[in-house]
Amino acid sequence: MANAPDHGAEKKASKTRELFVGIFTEEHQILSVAEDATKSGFPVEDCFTPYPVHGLDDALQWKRSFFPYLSFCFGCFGLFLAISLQVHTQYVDFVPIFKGWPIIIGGKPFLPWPAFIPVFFELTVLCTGHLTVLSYFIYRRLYPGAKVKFHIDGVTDDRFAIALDPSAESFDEAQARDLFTRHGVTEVLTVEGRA
Amino acid sequence: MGGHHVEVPAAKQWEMPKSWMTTAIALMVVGLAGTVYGFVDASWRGWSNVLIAGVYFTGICLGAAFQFAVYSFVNGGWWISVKRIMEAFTTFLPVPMVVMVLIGLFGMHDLYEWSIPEIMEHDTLLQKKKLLLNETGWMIRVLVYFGIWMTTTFLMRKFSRAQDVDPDPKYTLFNVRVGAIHTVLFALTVTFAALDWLSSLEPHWFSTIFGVYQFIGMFVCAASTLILFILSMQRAGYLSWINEDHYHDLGKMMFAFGTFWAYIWVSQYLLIWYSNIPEETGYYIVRNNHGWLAIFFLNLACNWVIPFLVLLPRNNKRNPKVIGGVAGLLIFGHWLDLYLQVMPATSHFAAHHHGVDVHGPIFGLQEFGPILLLGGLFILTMGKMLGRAPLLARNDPYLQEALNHHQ
Repeated sequence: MANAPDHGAEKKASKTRELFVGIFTEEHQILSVAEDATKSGFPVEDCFTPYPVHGLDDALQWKRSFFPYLSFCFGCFGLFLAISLQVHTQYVDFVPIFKGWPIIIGGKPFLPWPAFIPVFFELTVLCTGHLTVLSYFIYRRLYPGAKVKFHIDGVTDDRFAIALDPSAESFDEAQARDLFTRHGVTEVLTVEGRA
Repeated sequence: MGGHHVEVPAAKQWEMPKSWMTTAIALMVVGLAGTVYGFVDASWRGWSNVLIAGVYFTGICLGAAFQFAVYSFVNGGWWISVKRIMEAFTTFLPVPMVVMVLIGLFGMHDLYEWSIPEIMEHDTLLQKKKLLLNETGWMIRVLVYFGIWMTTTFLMRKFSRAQDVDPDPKYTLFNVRVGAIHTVLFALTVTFAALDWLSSLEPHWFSTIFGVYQFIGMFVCAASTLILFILSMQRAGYLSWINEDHYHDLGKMMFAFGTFWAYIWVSQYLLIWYSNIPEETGYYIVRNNHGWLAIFFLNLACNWVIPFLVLLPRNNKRNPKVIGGVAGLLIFGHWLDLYLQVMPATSHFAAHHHGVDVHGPIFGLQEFGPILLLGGLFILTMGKMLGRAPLLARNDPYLQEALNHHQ
């Protein structure tokens, strides 16, 4: 794919990107090729698999996601929401504008903390779950209207793909093909997509 | 979970480390002294602590048996790496049975007010429960419970070991069935046992979730004890195949079911607090007054708040030191939980019907006697029983999955 060095092509190149993709059919192949490629310094962009493959993160030497910490923060936020909601509506009547309405229910005191527990729990879980999933969708650009970056056939079906970044300096096509072949590649392709 | 084929490591033949022997003997000496002192001090105090210890160790055996049964019939993989330790736990069942039988023969009048005919005569409510609350029935049921538990655990152990000799997976499939049967029987027996042994200490009080509460307590306690044994065995140079992924699973078990304990605790407390019926609130009124309130909150802190917060980060669940510490806290917490169920009831009974002058919590050597005595005996038994079968179930169909385990 020799690109003619004219102005129009350069402009186009800034918007599109290529990936050098090896397609595999077995789980153990993708695990071993990912590990090998990472260890020998290939510019691994990503792996695409039809289902979460155990140990792939380790093979790619990826760091742990920051999402658990985000979840924890959302949980704390949910708990805070539950506490402020209930304490406010059940107890506080001195906040101007948003006046609470202290009321005696079943002869219980104004601050009946055991009665608050289910709501503490529910709102904590609700906020943790929903906000984590939503922020994951946003972070991974999985919302309606998001443009597809790359399309590789079969990776949501029965094929495992590893993508290398051909624009990186450490990329060498012959070596990459050799690497893929050693791990039993089915198909090698160059995929073009949005940058 | 697939993955690469892993070489099955050689499992060293188990020999009890000297440190286990020393610890066990030290615990038993202190425990025996405490037990004797307890009975010399006051018979109600002695029997209360014997009851706590008996229920506690029944719980460890049953918690291990339940995990064995459930992991069997859900086709679990990772637990094969530690299943021999669970099997060894279940062999301890005859000891708590002897303890419960001793209570049934000699200790009833110090523990259960319904066992005293004069009280029964003047109490219409208790007379209505006579079908359940009588000494003969209590004793027969103890034997039935232990009979069932010992039979099913014997079968599970037998098939598990038969698999070692013969690689035919039919033995593992037998255990799927035995595990399912055990689980159903266990659900019924553990509920009735909880009512007989603990709930009937306050025979006017009732809680429909009590059986589940006992079950989850024993599950967490067994999971924690399992972790402590694994760590100790690894320190002695065994179980080389257990890695941090296995720790992670054990930690998750402890974390999840510790939280489930809190869920059940709240479910029981919340409903009783809400409906505010005198027959039900009596249980908590005793435990929120007379100096019991501190233990009431300590119980929650030990069994849920601290373990939950400590085990929340992933790395803590993968760190043997942290899960070991939490497991230690939880086995203390379960004892405290039982103490808080038994002692307020029996001391109240002793104060009212035997004229003993006792108010609020008491802690002394007497309280730690029976539990340490049985604890020492447990370590000693485990030291012996772990050597009965190879520590790694070599022919188990799930062995590769267990060794090749990713969390």
